[in-house]
Amino acid sequence: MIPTIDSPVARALMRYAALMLLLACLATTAGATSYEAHLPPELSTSPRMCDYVPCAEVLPGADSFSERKGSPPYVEGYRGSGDGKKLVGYVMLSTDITDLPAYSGKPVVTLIGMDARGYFTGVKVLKHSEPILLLGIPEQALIDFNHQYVGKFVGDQLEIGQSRPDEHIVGLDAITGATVTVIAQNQVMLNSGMAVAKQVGILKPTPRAAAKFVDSGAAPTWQQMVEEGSLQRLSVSPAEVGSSGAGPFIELWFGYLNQPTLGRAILGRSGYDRLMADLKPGDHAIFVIRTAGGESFKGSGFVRGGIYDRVQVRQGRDIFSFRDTDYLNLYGVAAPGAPAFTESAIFIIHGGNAFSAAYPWQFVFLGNKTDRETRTKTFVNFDREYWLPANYLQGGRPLVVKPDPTWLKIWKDRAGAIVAFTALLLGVAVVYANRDGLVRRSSHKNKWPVNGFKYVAWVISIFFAGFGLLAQPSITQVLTWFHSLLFQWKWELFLSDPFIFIFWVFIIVTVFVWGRGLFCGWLCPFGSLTELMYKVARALGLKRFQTMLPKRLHDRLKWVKYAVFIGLLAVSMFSMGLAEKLAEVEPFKTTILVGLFKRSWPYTLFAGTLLGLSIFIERPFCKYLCPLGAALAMPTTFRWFGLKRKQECDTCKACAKGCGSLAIDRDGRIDQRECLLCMDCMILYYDQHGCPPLAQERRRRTKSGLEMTRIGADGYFIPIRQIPTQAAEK
Amino acid sequence: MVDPRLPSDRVELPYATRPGIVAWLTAEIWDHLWPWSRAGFQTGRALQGAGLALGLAASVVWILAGLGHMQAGAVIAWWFGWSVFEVVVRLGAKPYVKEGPWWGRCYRRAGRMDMLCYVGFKNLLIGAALFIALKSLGALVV
Amino acid sequence: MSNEKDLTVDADPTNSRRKFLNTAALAGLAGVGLSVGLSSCKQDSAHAPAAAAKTDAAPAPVAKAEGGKYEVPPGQLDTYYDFCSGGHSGEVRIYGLPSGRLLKRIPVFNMDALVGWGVTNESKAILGTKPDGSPKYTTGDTHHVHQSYTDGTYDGRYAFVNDKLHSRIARIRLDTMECDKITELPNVQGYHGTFPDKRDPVDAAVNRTTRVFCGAEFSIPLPNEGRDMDKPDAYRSLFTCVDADTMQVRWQVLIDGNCDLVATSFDGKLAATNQYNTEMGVHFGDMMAAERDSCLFFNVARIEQAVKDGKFKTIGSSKVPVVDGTKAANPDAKTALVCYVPLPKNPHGVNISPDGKYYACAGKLSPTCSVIQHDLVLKWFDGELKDAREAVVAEPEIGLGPLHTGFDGRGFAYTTLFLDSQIVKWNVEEAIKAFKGDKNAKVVADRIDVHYQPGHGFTSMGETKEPDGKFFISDNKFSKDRFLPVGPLHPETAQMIDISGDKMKLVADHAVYSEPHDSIIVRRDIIKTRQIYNLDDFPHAIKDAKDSGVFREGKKVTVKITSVAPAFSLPEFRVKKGDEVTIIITNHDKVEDLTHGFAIPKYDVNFLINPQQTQSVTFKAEKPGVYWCYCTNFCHALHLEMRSRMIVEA
Repeated sequence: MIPTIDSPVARALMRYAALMLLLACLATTAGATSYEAHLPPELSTSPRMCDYVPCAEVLPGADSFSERKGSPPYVEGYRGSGDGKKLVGYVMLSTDITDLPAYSGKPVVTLIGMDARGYFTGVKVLKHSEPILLLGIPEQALIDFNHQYVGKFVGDQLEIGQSRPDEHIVGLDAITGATVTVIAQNQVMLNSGMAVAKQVGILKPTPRAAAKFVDSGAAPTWQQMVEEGSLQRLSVSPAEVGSSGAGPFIELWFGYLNQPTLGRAILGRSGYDRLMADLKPGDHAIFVIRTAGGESFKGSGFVRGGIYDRVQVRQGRDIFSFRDTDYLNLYGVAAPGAPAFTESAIFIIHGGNAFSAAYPWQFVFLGNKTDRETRTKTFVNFDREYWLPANYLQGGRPLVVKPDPTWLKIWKDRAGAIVAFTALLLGVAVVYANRDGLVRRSSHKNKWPVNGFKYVAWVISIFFAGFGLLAQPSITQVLTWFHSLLFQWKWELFLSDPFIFIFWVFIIVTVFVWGRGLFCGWLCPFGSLTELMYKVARALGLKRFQTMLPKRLHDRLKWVKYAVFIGLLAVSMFSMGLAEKLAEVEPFKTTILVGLFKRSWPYTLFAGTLLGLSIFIERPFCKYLCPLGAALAMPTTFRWFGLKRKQECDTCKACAKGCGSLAIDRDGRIDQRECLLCMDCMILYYDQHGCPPLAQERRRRTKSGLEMTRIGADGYFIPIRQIPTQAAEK
Repeated sequence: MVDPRLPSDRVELPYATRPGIVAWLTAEIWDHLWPWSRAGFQTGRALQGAGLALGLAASVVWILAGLGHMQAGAVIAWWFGWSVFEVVVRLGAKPYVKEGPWWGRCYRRAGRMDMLCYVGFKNLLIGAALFIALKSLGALVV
Repeated sequence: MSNEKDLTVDADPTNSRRKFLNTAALAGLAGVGLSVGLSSCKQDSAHAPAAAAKTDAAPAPVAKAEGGKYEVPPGQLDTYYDFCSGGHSGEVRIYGLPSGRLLKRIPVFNMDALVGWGVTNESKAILGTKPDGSPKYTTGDTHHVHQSYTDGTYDGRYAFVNDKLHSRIARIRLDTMECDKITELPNVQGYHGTFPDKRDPVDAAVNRTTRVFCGAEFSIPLPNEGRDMDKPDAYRSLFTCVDADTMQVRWQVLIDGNCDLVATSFDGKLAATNQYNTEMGVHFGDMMAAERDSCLFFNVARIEQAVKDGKFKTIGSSKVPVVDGTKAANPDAKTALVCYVPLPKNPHGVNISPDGKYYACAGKLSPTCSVIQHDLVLKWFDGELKDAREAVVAEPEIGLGPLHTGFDGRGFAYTTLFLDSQIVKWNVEEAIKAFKGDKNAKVVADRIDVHYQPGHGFTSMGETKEPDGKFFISDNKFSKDRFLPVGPLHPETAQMIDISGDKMKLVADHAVYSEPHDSIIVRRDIIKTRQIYNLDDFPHAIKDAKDSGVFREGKKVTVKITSVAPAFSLPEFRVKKGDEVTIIITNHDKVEDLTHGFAIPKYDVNFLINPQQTQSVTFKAEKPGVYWCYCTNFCHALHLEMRSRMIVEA
């Protein structure tokens, strides 16, 4: 909402500018506009509604229409004739159903089409009187706004603002500067659609039995009502609306007034009696006070259009807006301990059968968030649930089954796979934790006790985790974290993919305990795939074509992946979109998530080349390009438990020669950032035939006929020398 | 003779070997929050001095941010800039990192990459903690 | 990157977060000192305006803080309604207190060009018309506005107001704040004091206003149709009772002397009026001849029994039963209809205390205020008091020219002193002690000067059983130098006095257009108004725009129009010269405050139609030609385009 449009000064100016601008507008857009369009008078009365308006435009595919039927009225649209006549959907005229006015104080006459399943098929504005759409805002904006409904289900919670999947709210983009218009239009669309959907059985009416109140005769204080939850607070911080400053942007308290105990506590006895005397059946009163912040919850939209455009009440799918005549002055709060307030209101919900105070409802504050970058404003809604405490309701609170948030639903739906996947990760961790036993059982000739587990992990990772669950961690997630950490952390975002989430928990824990190698070397679907290809190729006799880069070259190239990572991180600070595009340097999406041959050829070529190279070079992508590996390698510097070495490793090159990751330098030191925990060097460590110092000792003992003792944790045969008892006791 | 059991040569830090949990904690704080050392100043006075000034400036930026006078972007930029400089400062003054468990007391000589990883990781945690704290207090708006 | 570029980025507040981050990040990388400079620049500029603002604000006067307590800041609402008579403007006004803002002028006995009071058929039907259809009277003189009561306090249903000029009583319905009934009182002139009763003396179940009492000041021959004009001895005054629901006159009482102001008891048993012309003098001097005048108490139940018993006569063409309340006709207190309590000469104003125990009757020409005890008057009616004067329990000297008294519910009375130009705060119980001879009684608690010459004075909720003792308004008769001069006719001052403390505090001068007499200060939560009208309330409502049109029956033409901003349903309509044209307009807008006007040039027609209201006018189309009817009340961006052509064919 551009403030200038709704401000009184601007409105005054607008009034005087109206004629001039109107003339200009009419001259250029004559005929094309529905502003104050003349509608045939029969439209509102004739049973043959579709003779007067283009019903087929909003219900494509229908070639004949019924007469008006039902209450409120609608028409049915059919395709074909005779026996082949098939119901396509319904068409309704908004003014048949609701006379809710828009900014002009007059309704936007809208023709609405909905298919037989309850999805909107078309929306056409027949006539509107919005001066605001003549002055500055093109009428196309309203048409574009309406077009958003096409394909949306009437039973969804459609709201102006951002989508909130976890709350099952589908967002619609507003028209900047025409707040009242779009809020009214959304209400009209929903009221109309639902009125018809309920009649034809698309939507089951949600019966909410009216609340029966318990009148305890108590006089609760403000504090008591806060504690029991019969008063609720809605607070919006400046940051949430893109503004700055200390203290809340707006802090509201609200409560339900029809309940006699609460109503008397807030309004006093006479005030309550008077209010109730004025309410009609189905009417509900709530009160709102502003206890902090400078923003008004009343705004000024109600002045011209008669609609309060900043507050609503929502119960289930039903949204209740307030007209100017639904507002009453609230002069004071009787309850002792009530806070001072600077704005107040009593709003009347004309609930009919739709609203029941026995069930929870939300009080919604419709705000604008200013983007600090573009200064454009977007709708953001803030809501707070209210549910009368059980002791105020006869029979207590009714049972309400709340839909799970989307992420929880996914977790429940995929519980089996989640358990299996978690088992995989835990299994690998347990195996690795017991590596000492496994490597002791292995030798440089037979590495199966280790590799058997590893290969199984690879295969499960590739086919189950990767191709099956699409659980391929990516650098984009790391970038997203950085942003979330700085800007807005939303657990729901991360929880919405349970496998990636669990994978990351595993990765973070294991990186600190053992280093990144456990993930990279054992579980990364793509990494596993490339090394498996390398191993299979070797087994198939391609070993002679397989090679390693010279160590010198490797030691230079290995830095490339860090550069890729830091580059991506830097780019993401300026453009997340660009960073995500550049993150295509990971062939994961092409290889695993989408499919190698389902993308355009440059992607296929890139991923194919990397995979092809993997046959001849062990894990080329992991070693030199993978930004995710780089991101994990950096904290791996500080892993708690590294691999074991012996002093002799400084000159012995046995492990280094066999290190597929080229992670052992010429001093025999392992670069933990490069190490993928393949365990080859650990096998050698205990291998009395493979490890040169051990082999030497073994030969010496064999020669001397000495006993072969067990190899200790330090990687040496346990010395045979007799230890004096007192020394041991020492 | 190098010890291949450590990724780099061991460094003995007298102040980090004193027994007791308090001494350990003091040494940790001293290490993480104070990148300078006497030795550092002896070898590169100008560089260390500049580092000191910049570190001070970065602290002021955080205080200003706490008072609501800074924009998020500026705070991030300052913190990033300081972090780069801290790598250089530390390489001159405290050129070592901890090896193995964080609760242990094993130190080793830091290579440039080690230091980069250390400062990057440590400052990410400090920055994120301060950033989130200031944001939740409303002093900083993104 | 250059220094200049940095500064540009900094100076542009609309710069984006990411873009800023961008530049700042590079700055952080590129150079430290540069950024230090940048940030300090920023600080300087941020502090400079703040410092400037401080010096601007410094000279704010200290006194302002005190006055500010009574200011109503923008967006906040007043805490009281002040319903105020408009004097010889003939209207009733509503002010908000404590701000003193004029919120509304309700036309009652006067003509009002803005809303069309006296123009529309609906208003004329209430005002009463001459045979030619024009209003019977176009002037009026309102003095006393009082609200209907339920359970001893205001109930927000009706307000009643007198017309001293033509002796009419009007009722205003408070949900729309419009006059809905006007009744002309027979057999009287100078109808001045008026007060609704507070409960029914006969039916105890009725604990609300059902009667309004009216005191007539001027005595006239009865019937006043040309007889006895030169025989002032034969002139008489009547005390009148009007039914609050039907607005029909119930009965009248013939009395000795005249009536002035009126009060009613909380138990509904008595109505009182003071009289300053016991002498029945015609000329100035005659009226002040006697040392004693009196305050009259009417026994409502006995009067109504007498009427029931047929003990009444009628006067002239009036059908209203008139009972005889003269002293000669009521020699025995036990059956008397009226009790005459003698008071010092020419008293003015009679007000009952919120506890219902005492009536204060100010002396005017005597520097005293008499306190009459309610239950002693009842005793007199029971024959238990030898002399009615025994009902007077105090008569403190309080100052020169006492006129009217308000109460704070804490035992204090506040009396306006016209000649002293003061308000005097005095204690009723102390005055009673002093009257009994207690020399130590401290009657007067405080005095405060007002500017100038107060007439009526009243306290917030002071005439109900719920007085809150917060404010006293002194309606002064002269303002002289208190406001910017606006020519020889000055506004009046309504001065607001904070009476919540021990000392009275003058806290505001409110300018009011001449000439409010009496007001009532009503708590805001009592009043509840409608936001828009109800279409069904109007029998002539045009409920559908399609029903618009011109309907002719001989020479009588009815034009039906509806309005929805920014258009009338008929862009033009045709009538013939000589037609009697009735235009009926229904405003179909439903938005609160979306009022339209309808004005016809040269035909002297202008009136308002509020949302969902229907109004009509009737006139003779005497002038042929084209007349652009237009909306006079700003309604829409295209308000100026909201017109219709009346084409009068020759």
